[in-house]
Amino acid sequence: MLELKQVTKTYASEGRLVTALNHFSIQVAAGESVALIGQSGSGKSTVLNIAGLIDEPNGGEVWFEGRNLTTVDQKHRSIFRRDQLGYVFQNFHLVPVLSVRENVMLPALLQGKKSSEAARDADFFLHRVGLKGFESRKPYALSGGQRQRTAIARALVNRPRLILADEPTANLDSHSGQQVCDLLFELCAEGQSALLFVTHDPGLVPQANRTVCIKDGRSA
Amino acid sequence: MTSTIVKLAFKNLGRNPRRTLVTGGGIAVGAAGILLLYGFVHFAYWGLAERFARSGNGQIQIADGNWFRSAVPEAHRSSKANLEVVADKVRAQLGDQVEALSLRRKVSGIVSTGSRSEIFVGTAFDPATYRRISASVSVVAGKTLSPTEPQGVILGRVLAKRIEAKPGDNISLLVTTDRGVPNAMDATVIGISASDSKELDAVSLTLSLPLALNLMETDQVDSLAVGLKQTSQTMMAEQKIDALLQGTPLETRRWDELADYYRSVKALYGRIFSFVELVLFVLTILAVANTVMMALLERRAELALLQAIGMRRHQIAAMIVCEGLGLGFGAGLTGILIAFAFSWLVQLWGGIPMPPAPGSSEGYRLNFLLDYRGATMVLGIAILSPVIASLWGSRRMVQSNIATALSGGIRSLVPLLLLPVFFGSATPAAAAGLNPDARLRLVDSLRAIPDDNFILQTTFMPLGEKNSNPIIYRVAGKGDRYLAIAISESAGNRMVILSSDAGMWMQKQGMRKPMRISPSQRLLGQASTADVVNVRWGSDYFAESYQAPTLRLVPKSTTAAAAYSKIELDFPADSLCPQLARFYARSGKLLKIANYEYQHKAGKLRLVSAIIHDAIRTGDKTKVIFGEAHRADLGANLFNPQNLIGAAHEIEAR
Repeated sequence: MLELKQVTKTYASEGRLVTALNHFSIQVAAGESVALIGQSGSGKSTVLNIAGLIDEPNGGEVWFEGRNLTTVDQKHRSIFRRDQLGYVFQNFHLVPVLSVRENVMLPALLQGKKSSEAARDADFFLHRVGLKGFESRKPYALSGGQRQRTAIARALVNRPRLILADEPTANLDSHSGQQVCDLLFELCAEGQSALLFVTHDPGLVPQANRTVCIKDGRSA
Repeated sequence: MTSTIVKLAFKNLGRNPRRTLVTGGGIAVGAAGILLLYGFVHFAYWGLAERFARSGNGQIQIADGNWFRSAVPEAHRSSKANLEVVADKVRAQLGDQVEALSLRRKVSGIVSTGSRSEIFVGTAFDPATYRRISASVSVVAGKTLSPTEPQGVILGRVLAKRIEAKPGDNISLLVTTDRGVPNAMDATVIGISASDSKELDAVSLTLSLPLALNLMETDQVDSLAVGLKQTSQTMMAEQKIDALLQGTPLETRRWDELADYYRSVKALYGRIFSFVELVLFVLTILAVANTVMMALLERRAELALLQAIGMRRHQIAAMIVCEGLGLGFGAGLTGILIAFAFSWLVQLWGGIPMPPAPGSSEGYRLNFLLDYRGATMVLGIAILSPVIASLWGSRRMVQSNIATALSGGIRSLVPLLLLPVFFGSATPAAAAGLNPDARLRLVDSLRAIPDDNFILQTTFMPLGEKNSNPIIYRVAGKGDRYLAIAISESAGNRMVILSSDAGMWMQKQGMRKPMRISPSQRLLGQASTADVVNVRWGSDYFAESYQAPTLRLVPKSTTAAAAYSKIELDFPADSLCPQLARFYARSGKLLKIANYEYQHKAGKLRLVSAIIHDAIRTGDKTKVIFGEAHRADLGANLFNPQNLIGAAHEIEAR
């Protein structure tokens, strides 16, 4: 479903050229969950950013369901992110002026769904992540775990074909982290979506179908 | 989708009400200023127009076409009888619109009292209609022209003074007739007139038309003046008169075509007004652009998030422009209301007394003539300024790299920051590679106190002059609520403190009811030390600016949670851990200073202690040592102000 072919990413930092990814390749099949592990700065998040089309590689290609996404224009990149992708960010990135429900509704509204339909979908996923009763709260009134679960509900509301999660349990205690991961694996299996996630949590790695270790921008 | 964008835009306007109010207020004041300037200029135009038209000139004059065009107009006068016929037709055609009609004839010569003589430039009118067609002429002594006194004349104030004439005096008028022969007639001074111009008053003489025609031995007159009730009806009336005059040598001229002084004043004021308007417009755009850019920079990660979840660039730009539109429309309307209210008050007061204009002898009372055209123009400017600023900002924002923006980096951000630098306000955290917002997020991640269900032990060690025993608190936290129990105190002296967004309460063993700690108490003494420790940076405060080494935070709202009007965090060079924090009261007074210590724990840098100095009772300082937090399942009932002692027992038991 998702394939990164010989992807290279370099950027300038403090006057030096840093290679974040060096001819890195990975494949993730539909319904498969892949854990991406490696030390800090090894390039894990860069893989997710490039796979999620929010960053551009300097070399190599990104393929999704037989289509080369490296060459598509901004408009189609946005449409891909909107329709095919669910992204769980490490820092939640919830919109502070919107309620929990409105945050989750946002991708559905962007897809052109009616407000009532988007609210129904949002409530469905909020219930799935255990946030029933929190729909009208603002993000600042939530705990870290609740924010993370809101971000997961937002990533899933359009039932994406590809789910990318950057350390989804980093801000959670082990119990909440396990709950969140169970949910991601379950929803991934239900919808035959591909799940690619970055983690430092050793307890989470065995639960993935496959593990890819990345070191200095290369598959280790 | 459009409704989502509009809804988001309006929610964003309410994100920082203080900033929205300040920006909107700036636009509103600018809009009101421009509209009042417009009103002042148009009042001046209106005053000049009315004074000209109602000084015997009428709003329209009818005469032979060559009389208007020729350098020798006296060769192209019209007969009195012809123009009288035209006057009848005009009166019939215009009906109620006509205030008065009068034939006019210019006469010049010498006026003499016998002992003193001066040159005069006179205008003759139909005495029956003179009062109505010359309503704005001020007769300061005596009376005005009347058919019952055909020999009566009105002298200009300065002319009367020069020849030492007063109402009732007999004078002689000496002229050269149209045939070129000298002629003289006696007349009686019946009034003295005064205008804005001393020069005009030095030669002005007004007489009745029969007297003038007898004096000049002719039946030739210059023109027919048509005075209208409403000057605004001039164009329509002119069209009707033009239709009447078709096929005759007679033509019409409007007051604005005849009033050279009005035209030159209007041209001058128009230039000045356009220039001031342009300056105000540019200043408003720059001021608004600065605020809009700062607001967008703070939301950079959020805008990137919207792009990351599929919002198209033009949709984000539309949302930002919509914010500008909403702000401009609201502020513009407010500015218009302010201007109309001010104008109304000035009108109630009878106008603002003004000194005489250059060349005038009389002062006047200033009013503002506001109309829908001015209001529409001002609303357009008020909307345009934030929209232009937003367009510019949104273009920059959506062109930046999403991943970089999400991580809070500054790549491709430098052009955005030029404006703040130009205004000398916040400068970028370029040296450290982080914008203020991202820096604040990192500081938040260093907090000793987690966000969710936890219990930890905290030791408060007084270090000041009054060295007393340390107090150990067990702190339980759930979301925004904290419960602190002083477990080091004896059982009978134990104090419990509850802190939440709703306020702060304290209860000691033995007290029947909890005591609510007021906002001012909260900022003093031990309570404030706890408050300083509990500050949730990112939740309650915005990163306003970073100017090395200081990150400045301002409250997001005026809720109890954001107790300080300003917090400054100082960073050592090349470090992202604040070493020192200064907390300020709403009055601007420095309340507390905190020094922080960090240690690596389980691979992560964590805040382990803080020394908090009381800036009001200098010398008082407390070291707060944070223990390890552990997760705990805490029920919401533990954080009830009415159950503090019960909650304390439960927490202690864990």
